[in-house]
Amino acid sequence: MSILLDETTRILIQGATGRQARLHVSYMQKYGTNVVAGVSPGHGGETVNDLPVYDSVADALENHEIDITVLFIPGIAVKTAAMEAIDAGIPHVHILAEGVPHHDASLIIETATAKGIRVVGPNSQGIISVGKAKIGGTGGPVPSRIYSEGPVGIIARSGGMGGEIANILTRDSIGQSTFVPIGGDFLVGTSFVPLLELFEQDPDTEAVAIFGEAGTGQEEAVARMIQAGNFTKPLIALIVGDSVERLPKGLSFGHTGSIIEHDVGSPAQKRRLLSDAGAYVADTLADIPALVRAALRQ
Amino acid sequence: MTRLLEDDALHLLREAGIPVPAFETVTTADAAANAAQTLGGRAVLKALIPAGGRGKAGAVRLVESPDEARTFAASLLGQDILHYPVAELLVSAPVDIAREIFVSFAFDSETKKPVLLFSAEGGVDIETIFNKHPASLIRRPLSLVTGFSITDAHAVTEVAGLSKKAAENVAEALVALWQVFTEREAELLEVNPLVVTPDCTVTAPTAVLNLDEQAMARHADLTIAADRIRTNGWRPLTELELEMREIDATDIGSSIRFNEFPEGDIALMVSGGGTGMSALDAVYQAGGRPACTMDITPGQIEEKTYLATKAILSRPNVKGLLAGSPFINFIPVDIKVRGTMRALEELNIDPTKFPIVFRFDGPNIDGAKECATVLPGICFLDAATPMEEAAIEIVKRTYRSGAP
Repeated sequence: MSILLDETTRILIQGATGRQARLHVSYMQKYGTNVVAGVSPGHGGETVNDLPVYDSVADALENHEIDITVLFIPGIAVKTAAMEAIDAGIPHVHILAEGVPHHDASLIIETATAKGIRVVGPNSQGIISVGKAKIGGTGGPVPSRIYSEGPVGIIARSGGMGGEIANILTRDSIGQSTFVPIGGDFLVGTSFVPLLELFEQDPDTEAVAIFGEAGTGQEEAVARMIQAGNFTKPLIALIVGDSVERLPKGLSFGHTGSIIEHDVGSPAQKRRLLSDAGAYVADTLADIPALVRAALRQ
Repeated sequence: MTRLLEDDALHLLREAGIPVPAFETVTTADAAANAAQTLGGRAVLKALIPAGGRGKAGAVRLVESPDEARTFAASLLGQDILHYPVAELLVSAPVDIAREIFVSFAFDSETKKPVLLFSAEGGVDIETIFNKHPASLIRRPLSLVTGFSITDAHAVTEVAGLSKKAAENVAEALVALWQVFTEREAELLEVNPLVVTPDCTVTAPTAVLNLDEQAMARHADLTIAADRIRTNGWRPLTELELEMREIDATDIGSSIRFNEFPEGDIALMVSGGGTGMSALDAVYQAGGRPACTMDITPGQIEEKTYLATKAILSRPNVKGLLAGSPFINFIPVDIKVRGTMRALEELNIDPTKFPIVFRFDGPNIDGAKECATVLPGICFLDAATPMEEAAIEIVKRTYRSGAP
C-alpha cells in the first residue's frame, strides 16, 4: 500500500497544455500514474499527452471521476484554478507553484477545509508512491535513480531534501513507501500531522522520516501527536535551520510574527520536543539510515 | 516581504479613510524647521527608515520649536540608525493622547488564517504587552471568506474597557485597517499606537505595512513605494546584493535569492531552500564563515549562474566556494556547472589555490564531472556524499593554510 496515491488514483491536470505540464505529465504516465484528463481554458476538445482536454473542471467532471487535481499553474494564477477545483468538489487539490500570495493561500485553504477537501502545497514538489505512481515533479524522468520500494514513508518541508533522504536510504538498501513534499511556504494546506495519521494506518509503512526546518509550529505538533499516542510507528526526524537563529530577530517574521508564533520555531526546541516524545532525531542526513535500521529492528 | 516606509504607509491609511496627523517628508534640517513651522511649531520628528525600535534608538523626538526641529534633524540626517543611513525625516503634527491601542493584522501558520492582535495597553512594543499585560492582549483568528465586519470589530472593542464613543471609533478604524490589509494583500499591518484622543476621536500617527512580494503583480500602483526600500529586512542591501538584483532581472525564467554576509569568506551557491539551509548550518557548525547564500530556481540558469559566480568571486573577502544542489531530476547537471566553470576560467581562478567544492548529481553527472576537469583541483562530490559533508570539506580546504 501507500498513502494518498497509487496506480488506481484518478488524476486531473489543470494547466495541462503548458510546456512544463506536458513534460511532467509524460513522466507521470511513464511511471504508471493514472492520469485521466486535462483542463486548459480555451483548449477544450484538444488532446495532449493522449489526454482529453476540457475548458473547465466542471466539464472534465461530466466525463470523468477525479481523485486528485494537480495544478501546473503559476503562483499568481493559482487562486482561480484552485477555487474552481474546490467548487467542483475534487477531494484533493495539489498545488505545485511557488509564489502563491499569502492572501490567496489562506483563502484557498480555508475554503477547502470547510468543504472537507485536502490541499497539499503551495510549493509542494508532488508525491511519489514508489513503484506505483507519481504526480508533479517528484522523481523526475527516472525515479529509480533515487527511489526504491520499501517500508519507509517520507514527509518533507523541502522537495529536494526529501529526495536526498530517499537517495541515502536507497543507497543503504532501505526502500520507501510514499514521499510527500508538503511545501516550504509559511502557509501550507497539509502539514505533517494529517499525513502521519495516514501513514499510521498504512500497513506497508513501518517507519516515517520527516524533514523539518526553522519556523512555524509544525514539528512541535508532531511531538504532541506522538506524546498523545496518535502516531505509534517509529519516527526519524532531521530538522535544519540553526543558522536562522544567528540572523537578527525579525528578519523573517517581524515582532508581531514572533508573538503569533510565540514559543515555536526554533530547530533546537523542535529536536528536543521530538526526542522527548520518543522520536529518533538525526543530527545529519548521514545519520538517517542507521536510525531507520535501529527503528525497524525494534 | 517589503516593508513600506512610514510616509507611504500613512498615505495608504489616509486614502482608506483612517485619520492620520498632518505630516511631511523632508531631507534637510531647514526643511524640517519649515515643516515644524507650518504645523504650528511643535512637531514629532522621526528618522524615516524601515526599522522598528526607532524610539529606543533616539530617532524619534517631540520638538517644541522650528529651531529645535532644525537642530534635531541636523543631528539625525546622515547618521546610521539601526543599520540604516538616515536620508529622510518624517515631520508630523503631535497628537493628544488619552489612550494608546496596539493593533496588528498578520498571518498565523497554524490556523493558516489572518489573525488580529489587539491591546488597549499599546504604545509600548508587543513583547512588553505580551510580558506585562498578557490579559489585555486579544487574539482573534479571522477569515478571508467571511471577512471582518463592524459587528466583529465591536466584539473586540467592547471587551477592551474603552468608553462607548471611543469603542465605536476604534471599531470603525479596525474595519478600515482590515480593508487596507486585504485590499493591499499585506503580510502585516501594524498600528502602534492607534491613538484615542481626549475627545474620543481616533488617529493613526504611525503604521507598519509589509507587502507580499508575490502579490505585487496585482499592485502596480505600489511599485514606486516598494522600490524606495532597498533592504534585506534588517539592513540596506549591500553593493553585491544590488548587483545580484540586476543579474536576476536579466531573465525571468528563473529567480535568484541572495544574501551576503560581508564578514564571511566561504561563498555558498547551493540551490534548494532546505538543502541551502543544511549547507549553511553545516558550514557554521564546522567553524566556517559563510560569505553569502544563493538559491536559484530552475529555468534558464546557465547565463545567470555565470554572472552570479563572477560577481561573487570578484569580492576580495571570498576565499572558497561551495556550489551544489539536491539530486537534480530534470536538467542535465552539466548545465548547472557550465556557467560556474566559465566564470572561474574568466577570472583565472586556480582551484589548487582557491578551494572549490561541487556537490551535484542527476542526469549527465559524468558530463558535468568531465566539464569540471578543465580546471584541475576542483573537488567534485556526487550523491554518494551528503551536502553537509561537502560543506565540511569546503571549510577544511578554505582554512587549510590558516585557522579561521
